[in-house]
Amino acid sequence: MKRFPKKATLALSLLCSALTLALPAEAGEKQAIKAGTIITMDGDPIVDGVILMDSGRIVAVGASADVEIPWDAEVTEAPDMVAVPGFVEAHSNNGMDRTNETIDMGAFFDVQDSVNPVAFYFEDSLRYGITTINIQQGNQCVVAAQGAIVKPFGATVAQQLVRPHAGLKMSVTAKRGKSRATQAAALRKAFGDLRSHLEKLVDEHKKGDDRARREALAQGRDYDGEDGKGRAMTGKGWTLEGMENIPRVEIDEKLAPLLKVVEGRMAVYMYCGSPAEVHTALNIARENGFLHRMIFVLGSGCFKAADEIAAAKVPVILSRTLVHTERDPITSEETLTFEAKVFQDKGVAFALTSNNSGLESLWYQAALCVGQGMARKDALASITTSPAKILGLENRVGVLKPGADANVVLYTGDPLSVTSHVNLVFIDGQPVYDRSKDVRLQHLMDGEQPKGTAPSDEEEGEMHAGEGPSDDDKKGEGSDSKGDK
Amino acid sequence: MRLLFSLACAATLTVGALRADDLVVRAGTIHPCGGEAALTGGAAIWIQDGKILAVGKDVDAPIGTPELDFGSAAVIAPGMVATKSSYGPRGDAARSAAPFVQAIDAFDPYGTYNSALRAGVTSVFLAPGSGERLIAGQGAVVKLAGEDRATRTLKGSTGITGSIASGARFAPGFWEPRLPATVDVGLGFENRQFPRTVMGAVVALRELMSFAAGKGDFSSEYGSEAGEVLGELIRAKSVWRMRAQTDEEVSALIELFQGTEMQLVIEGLEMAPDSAARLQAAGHKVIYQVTQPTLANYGKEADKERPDPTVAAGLANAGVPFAIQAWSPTSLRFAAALAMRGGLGAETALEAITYQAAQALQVADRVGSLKAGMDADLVVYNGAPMDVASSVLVTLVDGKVAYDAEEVARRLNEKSAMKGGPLAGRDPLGALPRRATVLSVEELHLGNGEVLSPGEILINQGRIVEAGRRVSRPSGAKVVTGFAAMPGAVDVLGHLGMEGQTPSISKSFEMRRMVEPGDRVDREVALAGTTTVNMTASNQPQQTTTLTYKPAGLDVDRMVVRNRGSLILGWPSGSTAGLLHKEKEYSAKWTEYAKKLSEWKAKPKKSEAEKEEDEEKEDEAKDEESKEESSKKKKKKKSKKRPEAINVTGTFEGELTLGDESAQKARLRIMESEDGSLQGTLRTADYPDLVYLEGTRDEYKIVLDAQTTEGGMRLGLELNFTDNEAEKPLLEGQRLFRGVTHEFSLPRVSTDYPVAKRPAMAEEEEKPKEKSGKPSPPTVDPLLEMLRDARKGKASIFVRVDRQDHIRSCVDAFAAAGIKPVLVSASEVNAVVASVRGRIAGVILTGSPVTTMNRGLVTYNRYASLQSAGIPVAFASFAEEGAAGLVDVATMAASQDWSPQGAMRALTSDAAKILSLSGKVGSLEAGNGADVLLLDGPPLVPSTRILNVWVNGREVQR
Repeated sequence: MKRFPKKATLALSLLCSALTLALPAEAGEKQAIKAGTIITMDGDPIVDGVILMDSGRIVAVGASADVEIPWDAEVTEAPDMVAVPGFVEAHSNNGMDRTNETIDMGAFFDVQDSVNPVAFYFEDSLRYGITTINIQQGNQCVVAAQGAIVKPFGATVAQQLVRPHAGLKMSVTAKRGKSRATQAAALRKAFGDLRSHLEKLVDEHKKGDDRARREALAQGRDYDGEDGKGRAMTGKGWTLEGMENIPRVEIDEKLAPLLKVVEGRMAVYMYCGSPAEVHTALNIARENGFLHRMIFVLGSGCFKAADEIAAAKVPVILSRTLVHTERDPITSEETLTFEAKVFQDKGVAFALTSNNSGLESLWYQAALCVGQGMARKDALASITTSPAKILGLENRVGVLKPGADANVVLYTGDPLSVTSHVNLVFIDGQPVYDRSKDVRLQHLMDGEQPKGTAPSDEEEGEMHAGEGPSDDDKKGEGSDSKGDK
Repeated sequence: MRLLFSLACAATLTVGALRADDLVVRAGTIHPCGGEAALTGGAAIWIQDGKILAVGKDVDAPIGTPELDFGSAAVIAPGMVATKSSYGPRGDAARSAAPFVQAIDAFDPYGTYNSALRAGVTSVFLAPGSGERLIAGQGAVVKLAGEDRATRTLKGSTGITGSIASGARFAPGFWEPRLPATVDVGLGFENRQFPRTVMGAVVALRELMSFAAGKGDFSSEYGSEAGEVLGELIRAKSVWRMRAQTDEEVSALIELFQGTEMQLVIEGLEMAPDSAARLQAAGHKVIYQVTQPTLANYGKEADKERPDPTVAAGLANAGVPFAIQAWSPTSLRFAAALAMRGGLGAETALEAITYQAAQALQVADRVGSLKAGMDADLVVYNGAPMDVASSVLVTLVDGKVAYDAEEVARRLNEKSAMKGGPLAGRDPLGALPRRATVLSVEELHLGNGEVLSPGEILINQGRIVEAGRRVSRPSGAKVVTGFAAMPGAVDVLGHLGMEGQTPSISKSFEMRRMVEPGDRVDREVALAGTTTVNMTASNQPQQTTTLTYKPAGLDVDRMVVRNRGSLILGWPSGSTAGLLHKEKEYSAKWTEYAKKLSEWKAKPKKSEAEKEEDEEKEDEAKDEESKEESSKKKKKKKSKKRPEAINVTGTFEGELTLGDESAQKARLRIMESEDGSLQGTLRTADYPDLVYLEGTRDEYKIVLDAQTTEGGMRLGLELNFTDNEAEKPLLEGQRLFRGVTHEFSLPRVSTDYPVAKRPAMAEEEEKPKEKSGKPSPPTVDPLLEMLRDARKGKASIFVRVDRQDHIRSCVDAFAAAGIKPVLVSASEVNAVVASVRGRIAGVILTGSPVTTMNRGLVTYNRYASLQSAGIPVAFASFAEEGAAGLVDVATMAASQDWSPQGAMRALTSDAAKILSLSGKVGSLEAGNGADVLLLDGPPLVPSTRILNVWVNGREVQR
């Protein structure tokens, strides 16, 4: 197996104190992985195959006999391992400092501003083979922030970003202090407010009032770009005459993202916690023309409304609770419903999520599906290609094919087995995680004191050499972890 | 081809005529509501595609249409419409006027509404909030069952819903956070919201109406949306549903809406007793809210008013049509019944929660009455709908069953059979009727001479729960009507269950082993009216016992009323006299034992051990003979050297060796009482139920007995000790069960007895006399035991005696023993009435009780005469299936110088008294087993037929 440089820059080691990983820049541009099995999610698995990566993209995937490895590529030999595309988390509230905002109408918020690149969550994601994450605001909202699709690696949010402004989060389920009806009213009000704002702008323009223009200029909004000019409004729900005269930059920034939604230019992640709310959500989406851009983020039990969801052709992101339990009022007998199967049977596109849980991470959810009788192929698709399609990244992530992002996870065995684990992760063609160098994991498994966590840096060496609390840990836990291995 | 085509046509035609989803529902009475008069004496509803096709005395449904006939006692009424429910959104809008809030958004078609459906409510109003806002939003009306959301939505918006009542006049302040909340802008503050008073509410509503009409901008007060949405609603001629509780509020609303085109429904009126006339004049629709009975303090000031349930009657008198609403849909019927206080008629009350409620909610075109074309939402009650004692049998929504009491009862039964509940194992057929039955008759003969007319009994779980002129009808209770009902007859001495001239049977024989449930002849006897038989062999030896049982019981457990029911003796007889003498000694023994036991205190363990040790040493010193002998003695000593027979209370777990040498787990729990008696339970793998044991011990010997559904079980055990340590007791011995002996070996695993408190072990010194320290109880003699019981009135002693002098001596002898005997045969008892009165338990005569005298000129009813003298008499069949004639024999006897009531007593309650079974059988009193005969005429009259028979609450099938 190939070894890559151990040394990390001071800056990074300070940032990710426990994560002593290589900086992408230090590895070569060309990378090749020779894996025992490659599950491409684009055709049958390849036995004894090669993945060739160049400049962050996959160049070739095929049997080792068919793919020629360039002389200057760094080769990772993994004959016993299984290569899979990095998993795609379709919806997560982790990685932010806080998940929810208090105000009802928060479309102008941006999740990017809240992401913390050194959150342990991202490190954990790598351990579980997740390489793409759609971070959205929490479910306690009416209209919430614009989300961001990131990869769990990078020292800054800019480095992490895969796609900014990736959809708007909304909720049709009552947030705290609201009832189901007032929640729906608040959602409708958001669009009503947009409409009356636009009507006012059009009206003012007709009267020759340039208040909006003066305001925009005063705030230093950019008139040079596409939005500096007026554009006729499109949209499947409602449109407004006269919008062609209103430069988009003059629209209230608080409401502008909603206009994108109405015009179908921005996806909506609609949280729906109960089947009773599905109907209202679909109605609001239809009224405002974003039905085709809506993705349901469902709570447990929503399979009951699967018919309505299927008829509306809305893809769904399932809750962590894959098996819904209901008790008979008389016999207390439990009826267990495997929700993914219901949606699958009705032809609804679905993705699994871990719902921010490390224990029930994506691989586990998929394994659970297999346990419930789902085909392995479909279970794997529901954490790779299916969420990628929902995020509109089907050609970039969740699949190992030429042209796709070089996000590869090397498993020690079957990715859906509890006995195998993630050994190596490549993101954008660069090795970003190596289990053998995962100090936090080593600390957990072997009781080894992670670097940088000792009381003082000077004593670090001594600490490992002998006395101190870490030594006790070592003695105490060593035998256990060996047994685990 | 032609032929095929025509065949296909025929098939289609047949299908067309007889549709699978067609249904005819029948009941005794149908209340169509909507102003139509009730159909009585049997009526039917024809349902097709979830709609009512026809309602009438009969309907022209094609032959073969599925029918549901609920019987003549059942009543059908429209599914109730609740104009108030909590199924809408929870919580109110922040604004005091929020017309944009739509209750339909909160409708959960996937929710369960069992409690309302069970109460007979099929449609409900969804309020846009809790109703505590001036304008809370738009309400909706939905059905509580059905497949399709669209058809379940009766009204997506009922218009404007609001209130000027006190609750709505205290909307919290409205606060919207400013963005961004900088130092310059601040966080803002809460704006107080209008209104606080009734006049404030009127002003606010006027402002809102102007705002809606585009006159004036009140967006800062009520929000910009309010005017716009309210304007749309008013232009669409939406109905205003406004809440007003007091007369002032009602007047304010009437005045506000006077002269406008807007439709108004006034809801509330709890404290508006004087508004009826004004409402009548104004012509607005009215929903009267009945207040839940509470212990709330309404205040002591002069102007404080309490909710008045007679408001509804006032409205009815003033000619105001109104709906009634309850605090919760499940209480709607009760609330309407409460509103009847003050003279409101039942018909009007029923209309108020069906048709009028549908009217007020603008859905009367689909629900609220049973007419052709309406939705088939109906409720079947087991009595009058406005009688709160009746309950719902079935609720149909769109012609489909949404609640079925019988189905629920059946599933509950299944559950308890499955889950090891109280009925588990004992009720494999699911036969124990969980569902209550009400027998409603014109004459209810309790059996003790009392007659209730009309009368009803409520039967549940095999027992009579209630008897009276009127009893409750618990949910789903089946009501059976008839002319008269009486207790099942008791045959005080018969041979039913015996086969012909059965040779005399041993007195130790368990007669319960003879009876078998489900016997056809037994059932026929029961159907003829005899539900309890005191059975004995026809060929009786000097001393014999009987088995009292119910021939039509479902299983042995419930068939047997009392094993060893009574003891039959003869007189004059040396053995009987001897038995009485023995009984004296026997009782004395027990008395002494009881006395000893009360004095006895357990000996301290230590001194006993020391003593034994000393003895052993002495013995060893003495035994200086041959080695063999000494070793033998030592062995003997060893085996003798057991720790003291300790209290055996505790749990013993071990193995039971079965016949095929396989071992199975067994757990025995014993509690030893201070009187030395033992009780406990045994759980073994080869018997499904827990066995309850009782027994006695004699130092190390323990005998435990139990009765199971498969016969008796006896454990003969010996207390041993592992390693001779008192801390490790071991019960070893045998179990006799099903005629097979199994070996037991059960070490004690705990000294806890989980049910009862373990008796404390006394640690004081004991009498030095007895080694074990504990007095042993006398041996139990079953016959003498019965005599003892008879003295306590817990068993009855039958004595066959004939001549007057014998009767005298017999009664004297028994009186000396403190026992009141039942005289059997006793043909000359009438001559000695004075001397036996009060000293005997009763008389059973053989042959006809009626004798003819004076060459046929005079008849004399001996039973009548004895009964009038205060001596209980009873009928005995002295026959096997001849017991079936018992009721007719009594009928005949009653017709001759006697009364049916007197004969009834002899047949039922006095018979039970003679068998010392009062409180179990023989009368229709609460607590007794439900053995009832339903008759089509007065009881014990020749022309009367027995229609149905219940034994243990279950109808005996023909």
